[in-house]
Amino acid sequence: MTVASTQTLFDHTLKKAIDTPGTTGAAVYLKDPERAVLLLAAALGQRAASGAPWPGEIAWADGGAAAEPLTDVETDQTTLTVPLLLGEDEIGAVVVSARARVSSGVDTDDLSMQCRALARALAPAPLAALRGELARRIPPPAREWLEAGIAAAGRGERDAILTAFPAMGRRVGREPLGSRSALVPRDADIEVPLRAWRLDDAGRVALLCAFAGDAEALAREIYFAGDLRERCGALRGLAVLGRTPGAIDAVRDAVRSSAVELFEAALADNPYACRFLPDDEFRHAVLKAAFVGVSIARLPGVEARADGELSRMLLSYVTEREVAGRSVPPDIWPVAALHPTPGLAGKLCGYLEHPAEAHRAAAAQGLGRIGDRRTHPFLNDRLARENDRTVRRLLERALA
Amino acid sequence: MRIFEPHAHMLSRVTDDYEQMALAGIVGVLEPAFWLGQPRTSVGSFVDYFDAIIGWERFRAEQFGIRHYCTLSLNPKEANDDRLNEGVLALLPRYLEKDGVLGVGEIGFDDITPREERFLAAQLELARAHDLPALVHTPHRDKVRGVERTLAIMREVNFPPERVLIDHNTEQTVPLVIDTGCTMGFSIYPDTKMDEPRMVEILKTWGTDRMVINSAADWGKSDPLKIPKTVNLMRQKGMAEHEIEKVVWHNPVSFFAKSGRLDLRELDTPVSPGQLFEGNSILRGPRA
Repeated sequence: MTVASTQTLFDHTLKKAIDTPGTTGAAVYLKDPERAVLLLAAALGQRAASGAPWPGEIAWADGGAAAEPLTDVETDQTTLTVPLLLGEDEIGAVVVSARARVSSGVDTDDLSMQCRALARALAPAPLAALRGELARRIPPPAREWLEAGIAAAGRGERDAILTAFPAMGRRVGREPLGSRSALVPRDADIEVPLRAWRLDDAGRVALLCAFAGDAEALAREIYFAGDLRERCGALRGLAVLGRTPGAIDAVRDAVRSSAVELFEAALADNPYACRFLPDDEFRHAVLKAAFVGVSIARLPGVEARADGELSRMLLSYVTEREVAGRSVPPDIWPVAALHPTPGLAGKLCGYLEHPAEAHRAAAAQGLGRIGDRRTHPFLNDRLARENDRTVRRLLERALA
Repeated sequence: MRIFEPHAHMLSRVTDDYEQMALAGIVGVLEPAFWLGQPRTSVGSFVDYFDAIIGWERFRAEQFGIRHYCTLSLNPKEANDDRLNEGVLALLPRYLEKDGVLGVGEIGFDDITPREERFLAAQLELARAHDLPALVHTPHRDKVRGVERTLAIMREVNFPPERVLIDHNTEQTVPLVIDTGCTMGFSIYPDTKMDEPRMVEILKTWGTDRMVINSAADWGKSDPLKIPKTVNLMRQKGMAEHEIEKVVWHNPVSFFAKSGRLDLRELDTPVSPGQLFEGNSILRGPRA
């Protein structure tokens, strides 16, 4: 990305940030690669407190709480900090300054989306990102071996990739990659989270990304000749590189599998499967995900593709579990709420009082989507007694 | 005491067996490729069999907290079957490179035929080419002659004895193998083959160097807990703890570590069974 185009991206984001009356200025900060600070990258307008320039750097505290927009109120100004999130990794923040008590007008949801888009635009290409992630975690001999493989892949040497695939786990390891970031391909507006990837997945997908030929076809070929780990690598490669329905039979094979690891690699955090599976197969895959314990919130596009039939199937599964006295996965509620079945609002009011925060949060989110005013007394009643921050936020939103 | 079971055909066993093996301290199991009980009629059956061993069976074992490894091969009995022997041999180079494949086996003799000899030699060559040790089955009929012919072929192709495990030994075959440098396996069975009391006697007579024991549990009458049961008898008969551990852990682990594919650190880390049959690989979905 050129300096000029980066600046344009910053300007675009900053203009949107100060669009609300009362805001006086905004700045983009990016995380320093070495130190725990955020460095000023661009700014538009002023901080509300007169005479105060934008600080060149801000101390950065690592913590889960920082992943949400933070409002800091001082006597003379209000500062809203929205993180730039790539996957779940904070790469920086947008700081919006407003006159005191004005920030409630700022649409933090919209600004968060803008920030995510900016983070995606700033992300390195997948091959560079994977190299970076691996370089931090594997010893030099493994790195050299992998680089040799990447070079061979870049020369279009299919056989080298086919030989390297089975050996990858032994060479770079099989432990979790431990990354909260996500991959963003240059040519598609998708994000592939890395949170469930292992070291060998990263190495295998790096080879596919480097391949000078048809990587989608190669991934498919590898899938059908591979063992379980190779297949997971091929499926994760399709998540990043798949552009046509040509390899969907590999996904179908994995979705039929009883090995949950394989099923998960095919569907969870995998935009390829979720884009190219036909409607009926997609619905059944979502149901199977709920059945085997893979969170359906991890299936990209599940909300866009949800429909009445999917809600009916999911709620039928819920009934089956309840009749057997077994637990129900809460991530069903927000998805089913997009096309509610009769009685869902009442059921979710009940789940507002569930002992687990995950259920109360999901129920509140679902009720917000259903938007039935008859549920407001129960939402208010719960809000008065709710201590969990996330649940409170979702209850407030549902009532708004 | 941790136990490594170096020979069990887990594809033919039920999950009760895995549960009990895990409780008895069995941490890793090695499954050799073998005969299914009745003839396979196509090479495709072997493809599915190999895929099942390295895929589904490994996954199944891990659900019970046991690490699963294997050896792959064209078994001695089906080496005689011209419908598929060459075809299976052609599959092996691809499969011998997969994760968790710690050797070529079971190879060796069943009826001691010329074809069996040919494929034993060919698979020793494959083991050499892929830098893997060999797991050798000795016949249950005419065993002494089978061991003699096996050792002769190893010498002919110049395959190093330190990289060979000769299995299903008896009192008659131990003297033939003891000074060769090969590792010696003994299969402890309920009614046939070797039993616990004879096994302890053999160890007391010949020592514990390069000795391993296994249950060879399969689809017949066999018992995947034979190693822990033998451990009990070894203790009762006064064998020292470190000698017992040598037979049931150090010897089998160090033999299969010669493949360069057995990660000792991984073996030291317990497999987390996850949420049985509802787990995902690393990330757990929300639970209520």
